[in-house]
Amino acid sequence: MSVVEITWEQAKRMVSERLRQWIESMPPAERALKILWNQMLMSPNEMLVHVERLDEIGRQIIAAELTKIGEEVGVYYIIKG
Amino acid sequence: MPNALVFRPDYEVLTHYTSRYLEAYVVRSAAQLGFSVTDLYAEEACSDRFFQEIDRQDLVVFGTHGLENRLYAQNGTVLFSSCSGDESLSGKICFALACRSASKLGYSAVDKGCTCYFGWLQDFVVIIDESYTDPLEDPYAGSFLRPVVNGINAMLSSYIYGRKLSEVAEITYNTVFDSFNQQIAYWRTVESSTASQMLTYLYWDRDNFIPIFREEVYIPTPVYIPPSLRGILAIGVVATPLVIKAIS
Repeated sequence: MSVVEITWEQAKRMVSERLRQWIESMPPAERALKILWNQMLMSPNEMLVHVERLDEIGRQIIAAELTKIGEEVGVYYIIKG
Repeated sequence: MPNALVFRPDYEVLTHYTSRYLEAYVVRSAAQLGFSVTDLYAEEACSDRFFQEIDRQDLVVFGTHGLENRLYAQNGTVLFSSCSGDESLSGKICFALACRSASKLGYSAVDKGCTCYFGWLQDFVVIIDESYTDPLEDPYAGSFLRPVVNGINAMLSSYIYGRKLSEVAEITYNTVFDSFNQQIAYWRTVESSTASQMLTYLYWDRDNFIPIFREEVYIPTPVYIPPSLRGILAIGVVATPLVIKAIS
């Protein structure tokens, strides 16, 4: 597994692009999907807002997404800063 | 008979989901395994009732909100924290389906004598489909919550069959990990961006789950015969002298 260092801005772009693809490709049958994150119930659009803001929840969403991408492509991402 | 307490507030979406899964897949199976179950649900899931019941329990299952240093009761009131109240878990095995509590509260509880604490280091994340009225029918939420109830049931059954603490911890951890992997394997076969998001949080929930326990602590083997074996053993007790007599 290789190690790749990226910045929060790079990680934000990568993850927000994936979230946009999810929102745009979502069929009508999946429009009621929400994510329960601790005591928050978020729509995919609200997740995107958190990622764009890079707030605490946004950073966790980014960390989770990078963990998944890393597992699938064999890369261990380290976010600098 | 060993005692198990299931603590399941129900006052908003997440606790509604977790309480429903615990009711359907843990409360009933614990009773079937032979535990005397104290089920603190909704308004009963409050600190007064919890502290009335906790002393006589062997195992405790929480399905509630949490933070690094606390667990919450019905309507978001604090149940206990790592500063006060977690000593009540001394001598008990605990499974906390709650956010972040394994990062600090679990270690504090084990330091104060809790036998083993299973929990999550980070937020426990669930994708739900709000169009389902019954959480048990929601296939998205089920992918996250079934691995958890599988793990709780593995903990209950390995305890009641008298496994060592290290074995209970290993069996419970492996059941949760393997159950999440089964869900991951399924969602990998689904080609959609929603499946990709499911995978993100299945990995997240799987990798943030940990058991905390002290190696030197061993669980006393419960002197208990499960109901399913009682009939067989009763027949054996009656029939064995007759067989011996017939042979002699």
